[in-house]
Amino acid sequence: MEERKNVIECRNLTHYYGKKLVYENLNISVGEGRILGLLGKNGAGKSTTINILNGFLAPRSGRCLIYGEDTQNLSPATKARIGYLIEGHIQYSFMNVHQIEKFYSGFYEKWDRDAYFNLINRLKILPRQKISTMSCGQRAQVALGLILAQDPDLLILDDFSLGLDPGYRRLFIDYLREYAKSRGKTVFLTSHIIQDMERLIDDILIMDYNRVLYQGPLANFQRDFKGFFFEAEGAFDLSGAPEVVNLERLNNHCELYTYASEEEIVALLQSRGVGFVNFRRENLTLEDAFIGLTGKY
Amino acid sequence: MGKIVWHIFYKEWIKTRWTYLAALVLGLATVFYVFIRVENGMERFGAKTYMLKVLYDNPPLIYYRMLLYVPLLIAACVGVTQYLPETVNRRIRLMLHLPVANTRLVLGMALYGVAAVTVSNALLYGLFVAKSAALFPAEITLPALKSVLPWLLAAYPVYGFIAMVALEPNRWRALLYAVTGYYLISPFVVCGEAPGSYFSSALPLLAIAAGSFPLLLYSSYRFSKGER
Repeated sequence: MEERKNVIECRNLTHYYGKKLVYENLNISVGEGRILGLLGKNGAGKSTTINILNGFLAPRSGRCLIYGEDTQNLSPATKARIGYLIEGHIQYSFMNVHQIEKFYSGFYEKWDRDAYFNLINRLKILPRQKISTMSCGQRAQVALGLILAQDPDLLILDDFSLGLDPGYRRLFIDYLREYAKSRGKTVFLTSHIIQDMERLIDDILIMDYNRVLYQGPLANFQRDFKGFFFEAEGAFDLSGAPEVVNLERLNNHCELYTYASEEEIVALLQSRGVGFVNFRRENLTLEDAFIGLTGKY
Repeated sequence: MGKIVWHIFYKEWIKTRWTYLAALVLGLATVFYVFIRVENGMERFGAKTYMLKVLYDNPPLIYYRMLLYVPLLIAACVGVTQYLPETVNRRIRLMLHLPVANTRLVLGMALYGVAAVTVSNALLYGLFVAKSAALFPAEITLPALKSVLPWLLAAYPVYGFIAMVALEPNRWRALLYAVTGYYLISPFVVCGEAPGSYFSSALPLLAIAAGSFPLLLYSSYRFSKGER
């Protein structure tokens, strides 16, 4: 089988804000043609990673390579291969849709204005309407249209779902996935809205404060990560048990998250003398699994 | 590269045009107003007496004193409207992500500002020369032109420092640059008691302007590397 090249390769990334550690020795790789979703709670380092990838932040140590070039010194040719969506769909809001297209078209050799206007023509906007007067969803479509017209090989999308209503989110995701898969594009994205990721991504990277909790194919994560719910009387202690990734308890109701099998968990509970009833495995959505892995707080 | 500069200019023009044009019209109106007052003065006192006031009064009548800050205000309008939208939401990341070397992009933006200031200076100076030459002899016009020239040149370092302050990611450094800029530039923006007396300010002002542009690149470099 042909081995895929890595488009993004981050090695031993360590970063601090002042004395606050963001993460240490983080390693990330994204293969060509893959869609990787970076998930994490607020402050886990998602935007920091995006900024390092785009060369807008120098890590304390370690390095990131995109198409083999250090992200701190990307050549113009490599920058032309990267489409970048800033969190909040930031664009030149003082321009209208025609002006902004005219501006960007001068910088990209492969500029495809039809790709842009195919998307823009679906919006119910006036031809000379400024981007600043558009809704968040319309602005998102403008930003996406500009990226599609650029025809990049790698798309880096920072919290693309921010401020979008469900309809626009679905439109954005379906359009993006179809575009990326049909043309073999690589995508690195973050989003706060985790249920969106399920329809979109191939690989997942889940970060918590200072560390990576999971990195791998989404399908493997959804297969291997499990949630067992049960009711238990009295106090019990499962600390130190390597099978337990997270245990949430509210009164008698317990939620135990693990990579272990049902038999192993039952055996663990029995060995620790936990009196439990109504033991069952729950089908986890990606959002359930994310919360199970990272904890509610 | 010419095509890229044109596209950078296009964006900067859309961003600044209304404020720039308004400031320019106001500046040109100020020049007209100066000479309306001169004409009124000549009607009131007679042209000969008015010119004697300009030449021999102690201190002499500096009829164009009102123009002192006009070029600076136009430069400030260009600088603020150009760079403020880039700092909101750190929007300049869009610019620095374009497939052109960051130095060229930032210099392209600065070049637009310098061009805008140069156009406004040329129009202000041209109008001033034309009106002054129409009303006064060369003995009055030439010293007046020497007085006004440093005021026009001061617009360049003012623009340079505004750009530098706007792109500097650290607020304390930005404040330091702003204070430094004020104390560097203000001694040279003076309306002397004798026409043409501060003409020698022109060279230091040009030197400060020349020095501010490499520092602008340094600010943008710090910005692009996420310095705080």
